[in-house]
Amino acid sequence: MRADDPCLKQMKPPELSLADRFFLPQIAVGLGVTARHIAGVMFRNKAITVQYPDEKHVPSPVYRGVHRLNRDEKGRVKCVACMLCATACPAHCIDIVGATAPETWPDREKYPESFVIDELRCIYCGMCEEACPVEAIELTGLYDLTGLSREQMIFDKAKLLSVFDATSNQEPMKYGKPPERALGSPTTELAPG
Amino acid sequence: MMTKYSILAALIAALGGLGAYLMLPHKRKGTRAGLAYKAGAQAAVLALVLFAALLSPLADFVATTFFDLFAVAAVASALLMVTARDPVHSALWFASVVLSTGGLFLLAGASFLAAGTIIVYAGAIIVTFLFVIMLAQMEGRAVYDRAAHSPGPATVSCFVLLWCLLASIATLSTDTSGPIETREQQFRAETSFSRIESLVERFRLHKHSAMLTVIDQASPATNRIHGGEGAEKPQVAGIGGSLYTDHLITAGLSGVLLFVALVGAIVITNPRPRPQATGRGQAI
Amino acid sequence: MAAIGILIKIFIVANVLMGAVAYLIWVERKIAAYAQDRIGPNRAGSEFGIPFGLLQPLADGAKMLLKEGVLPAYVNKPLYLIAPVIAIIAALLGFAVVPFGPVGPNQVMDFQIAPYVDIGILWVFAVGSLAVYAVILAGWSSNNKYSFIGGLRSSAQLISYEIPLGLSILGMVLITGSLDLNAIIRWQNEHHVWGVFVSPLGFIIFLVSAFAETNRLPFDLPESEQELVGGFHTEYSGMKFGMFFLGEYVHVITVSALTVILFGGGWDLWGLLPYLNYKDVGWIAAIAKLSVFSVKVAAVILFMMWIRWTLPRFRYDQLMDLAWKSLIPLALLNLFATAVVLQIVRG
Repeated sequence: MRADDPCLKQMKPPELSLADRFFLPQIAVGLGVTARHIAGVMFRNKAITVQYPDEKHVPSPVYRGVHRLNRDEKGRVKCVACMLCATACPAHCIDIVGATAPETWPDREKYPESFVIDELRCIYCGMCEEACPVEAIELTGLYDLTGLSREQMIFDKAKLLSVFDATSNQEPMKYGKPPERALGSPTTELAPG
Repeated sequence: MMTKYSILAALIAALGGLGAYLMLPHKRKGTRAGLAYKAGAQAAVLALVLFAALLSPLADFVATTFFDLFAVAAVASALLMVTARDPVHSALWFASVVLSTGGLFLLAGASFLAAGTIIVYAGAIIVTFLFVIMLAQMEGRAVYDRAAHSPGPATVSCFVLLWCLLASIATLSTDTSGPIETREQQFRAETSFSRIESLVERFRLHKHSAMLTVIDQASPATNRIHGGEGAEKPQVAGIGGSLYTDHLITAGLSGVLLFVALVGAIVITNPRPRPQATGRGQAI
Repeated sequence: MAAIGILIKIFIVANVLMGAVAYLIWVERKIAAYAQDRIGPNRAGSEFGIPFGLLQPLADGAKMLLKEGVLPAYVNKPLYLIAPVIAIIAALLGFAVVPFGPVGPNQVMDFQIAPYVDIGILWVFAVGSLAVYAVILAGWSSNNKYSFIGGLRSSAQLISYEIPLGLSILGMVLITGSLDLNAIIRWQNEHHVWGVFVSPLGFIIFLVSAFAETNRLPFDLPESEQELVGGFHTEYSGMKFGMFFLGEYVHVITVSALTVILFGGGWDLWGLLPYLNYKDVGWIAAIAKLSVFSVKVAAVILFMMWIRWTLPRFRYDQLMDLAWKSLIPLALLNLFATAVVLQIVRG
């Protein structure tokens, strides 16, 4: 496209008035804005800070935090080891070893013998949740995910199920109510190993 | 007395010249370059020690220590500035020279000159040098910086000049037998180079200690430009008055010179567009 | 004895300055937080019932001192190590001639480290102009592109802004007839007229140039975090970085004190309060003057911080345009006008 193309619209910067070119009136206006904010925090308590350990931040219902493996009403793991989540995962952080379901579980053929998520590799995109046909894997609202070593951040089946046990009363994640287990206790305490 | 100082001055000049010559970066880089540099450095340090000995003994701690410190620092920094391999280091040693000189001015009671020197040289000119060196030589030292151009003649001429200076100032030493009472005597004591006794004697003008003398010299009591009638003008006003009465034409001429230089700089940095072949004379 | 007294004075002043700097950093963080609708440091000290995080400076200082002093392998070691030292020495030296209280032969003591210096303000500028070496050397010796650009910017900026800074005070020097800061305060006190009112243009130019000289926003191009990752002090850590920090804040205090002395009347309060005349001697007068002066300096510092969190950074060409095309001509105009008016008034 040429510079004199009729389709091009020539934009000119707005003309500065004399006062604008001296900067000072505009600086005064800016100082007023800052002063309003400073006074608002100092005298009218308008700070938006959440004092974390004392106050709890409530994430939005679509917040994607730590995974959990759901249980059905009989307490069994819902997962049927179909590998859809592991396939969908862009970070390749889900590792499932399927096994033939026991005779007592007539509703499925397979179940996960081992289900490991590397929470350090995970990018918390929620694709696994979307891919799951049986709503077995979900991302909870737990956001204070901590661990003292890399090994602690590799969550196995027991740990993922314990996340469900800790958050089962928030199903589905309700907006406006913080996940109870989320606060004050790091998720590493959820289950040994 | 006179010959003693002349011989000492000659020794200093010879040793210093030898040291400086050996320390200068030479074109022929042999295996003995580092050895020569070390030998030169030793000779230069010896010369500096002798130079310090020429100044004055540590008769009064505060007064002479600062003078000796600044004097030796100035000379040593000057030597290092000339012999430094890296132009940035050279510029920094130059700054050190200016600072030491500023300190000497301060001790001599010329506080305005001291501040002016530091502001103009250390604060502006050398910073500009650094700016240019850094901007121009980011990829390392240039070829012409790696070796001195003609180290022999330069060293010889410089140190012969230095010897002349030292010897001629040394002969200025005054009769220091009696106490100094008049300003003229004090002036002669100040200008005498062999300040061994004279500096100590000079304190007799002041009834207090030597440190008070130094502080007094660094900060003259009068500090008003609009002094009373007949009162001695303080130095800032004195310099101003001198510039605009005794040296009016010189000051004006140097102002014009600077202005012309400024115009020239602007002309160089903003070249006018070259006239087209057809439109001769159109470009202005 | 006099030497010991001076040494004690230097010791006290230097330590008070450092303590003030520590709390200035706390104040700055608080103001930064308030301006952005945050709360700022409020935890340190809560275990001991001390509110508002007032122990934060202690924690900051301990952190600075205990951090590992990283010495990168690729730096020019002597210059790298000497740069932060230059920063803090230049800043502290500049404060030597700033009178923070009454000074005079009849006063209880001289509230100034180096009293009766004829060229007071020139000394501040001379030493202040050395502070640029710290930035240049840090940038150059770090052997890092970002640091280097920071150092280059700093050298150009500080040279440019020294000119309007020096020219802007000349108006006040002409009016008061002295370069001695005490004499300037005394003139304002005698006439109960502050420098702001007799030389308003000079005041504005001085303030703008002072912001640039102290590398404060909106002129903090040498250390701009966004494009230069900290600029000249990118490679510094621990107490070496802390020295740059201390130096910058001591510089801020010095410049604020100069602003108060030159344009804010020093400890003058238009004669509204007693004990604030230059003829008053004694401890009560000294403490009163010291307090008024400190409050004024604190107000200027708060204003500098307020400005910092209001204005965005200048672009480099805008910075140079402002200095060479606006401030210097205006400062020359101010000087010329002052000289003409003075000639007419004084005859």
